[in-house]
Amino acid sequence: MQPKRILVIDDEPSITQLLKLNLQKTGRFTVRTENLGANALQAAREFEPDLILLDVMLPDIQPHLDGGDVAAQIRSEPALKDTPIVFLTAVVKKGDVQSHGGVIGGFPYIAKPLDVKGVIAVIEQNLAK
Amino acid sequence: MTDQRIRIQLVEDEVEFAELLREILVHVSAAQFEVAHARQFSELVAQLRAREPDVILLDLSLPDRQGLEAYHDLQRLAPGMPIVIMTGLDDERLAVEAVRAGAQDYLVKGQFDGRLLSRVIRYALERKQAEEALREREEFFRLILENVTDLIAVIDEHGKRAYNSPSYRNILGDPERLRGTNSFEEIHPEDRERVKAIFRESLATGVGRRTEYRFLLPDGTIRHVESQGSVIREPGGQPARLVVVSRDITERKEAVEVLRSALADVKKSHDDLKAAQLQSVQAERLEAVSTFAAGVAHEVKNPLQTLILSIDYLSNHVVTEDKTAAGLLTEMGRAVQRVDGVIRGLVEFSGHVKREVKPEDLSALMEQSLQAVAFELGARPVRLVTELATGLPPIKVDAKALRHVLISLLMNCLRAMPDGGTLATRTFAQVPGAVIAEIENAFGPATTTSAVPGAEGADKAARAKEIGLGVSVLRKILGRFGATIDWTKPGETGNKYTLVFRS
Repeated sequence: MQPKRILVIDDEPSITQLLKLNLQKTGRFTVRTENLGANALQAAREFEPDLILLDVMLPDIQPHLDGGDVAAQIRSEPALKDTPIVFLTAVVKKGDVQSHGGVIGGFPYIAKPLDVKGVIAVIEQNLAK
Repeated sequence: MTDQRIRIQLVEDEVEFAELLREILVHVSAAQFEVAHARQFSELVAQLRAREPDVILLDLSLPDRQGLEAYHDLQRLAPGMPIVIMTGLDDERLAVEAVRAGAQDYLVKGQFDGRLLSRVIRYALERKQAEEALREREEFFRLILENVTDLIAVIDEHGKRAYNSPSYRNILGDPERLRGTNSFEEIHPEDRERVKAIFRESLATGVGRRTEYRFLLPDGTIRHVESQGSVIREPGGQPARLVVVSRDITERKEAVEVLRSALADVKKSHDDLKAAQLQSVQAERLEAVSTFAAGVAHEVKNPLQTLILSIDYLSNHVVTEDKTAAGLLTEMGRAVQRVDGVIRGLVEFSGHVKREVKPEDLSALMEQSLQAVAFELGARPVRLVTELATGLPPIKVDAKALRHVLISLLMNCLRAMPDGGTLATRTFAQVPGAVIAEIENAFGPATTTSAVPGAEGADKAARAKEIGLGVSVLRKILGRFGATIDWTKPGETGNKYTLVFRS
């Protein structure tokens, strides 16, 4: 089976780096990371991911693009509009995500911190859609 | 007197005697005396109108006026005029009576010479002037006394009133009728002995004192008075009387009272305001802490995520062979989970996330809260009364938050009674659809009683205040799941909280 292409956008390089290491090590994913919201759309165009993990809070200053903005940009691209986006957030806690069926505002969420097993479960769940 | 000569008005029906007198006077000093003569009273009236004399020599046996009547009529006719009576030997008694009635002096006909006559006239004039001066002074002092609002009294060594100024009329009635009465009679019984002691001390030492006391008047009204005593010494040096100058300070006292109560009101509203401010500060502080907690939680979550992913990677792909390293990584994972738990607690507290609102049993939560304060409960001589209903309709609350509220209230109650008392908790259902929790404390049979009642009251007020502050914050928390809290004070003796939930 072809590895699934995952684009990870988070301002923390350590997180993007570790997600990449963990996911690629399974042999089931190819991961590209991006730490700037401003570069996210370009990265998505080039990489053509099967799924995007996107941090809600991106501290980009000029131009300021948070996760919501990036998601809107990606959704407006015909080639990318059907690509599943899973938000990563540190604001809500796990219980909330579960009680909302992992969906807030129409998007699936991963509440930080989550272990690799949990991340993979969410990715697979959303890839299947 | 327009010139230096003394003008004498003779009133004498015997012309020969009148001539004799005139001769005597002129002989003594023609330059000094000027004499007019009237032979009877009716004649005198006309002469007085024409010329005002300095002194009148009056015979008491005139054809148209006799005896004291002549004197009195003349006195009326010329008030203030010095009058010297002339009388025969057989009439001396009458002359003495006239002097008592105000005549300056008397002369017995045939028994005086020029020197005596001139001296009598001179003395009569001087005495009259002195009397006039005295009268003027008396009038002056009377005017002062009548116009001062201060109360002036003279009290003898037995405490009887010798004099009271007209101003006493407003307090004790007619000053004339006060003379000889007991000056302590109207003093308020609670002040009387003290004032008496000051009176005795003043007489003994000769030094007057200032004091305040109350009059209790027959109609029951109370007047506040401030008095300054001064001792009047008898010629022998023995203090015998006291002059007391007093002032009615009732209005001042009342004004001070009004002011004091107004001040107390202001202070109270200031305290209330301060308490309200403190409450809002407390609430704001809670908000700030919440925001801060949420911020901290967010900041910590990313590093935690990094740690978790690192541990996962290391456990899954790097140290699978090394059991010790694997164990360590498992420990690290647990430590991170614990930190994550702490962080989630912070977020919970921050209130920025939805709570886990689930149907809960109020009695069970109360039971758990009581267990949480078991240590505090055991540290005091407190009798615990619990009446927790079973099978209550469930209430939708966040169990953790409600336990927090219940524990806070229980702790407040316990802290408010360090000397012990009773702590009562009740839960029950009430139609329609309300579930009630009551927490009530009764300050114990105080094992220590404060010597100063005010201090004890203040202490209790302070305790009450401490509790009051907490309530506003707890009310905010309860409001999140539509519950209310009522804080009633059954008095100085304890507090009662009533929490109402919707089932």
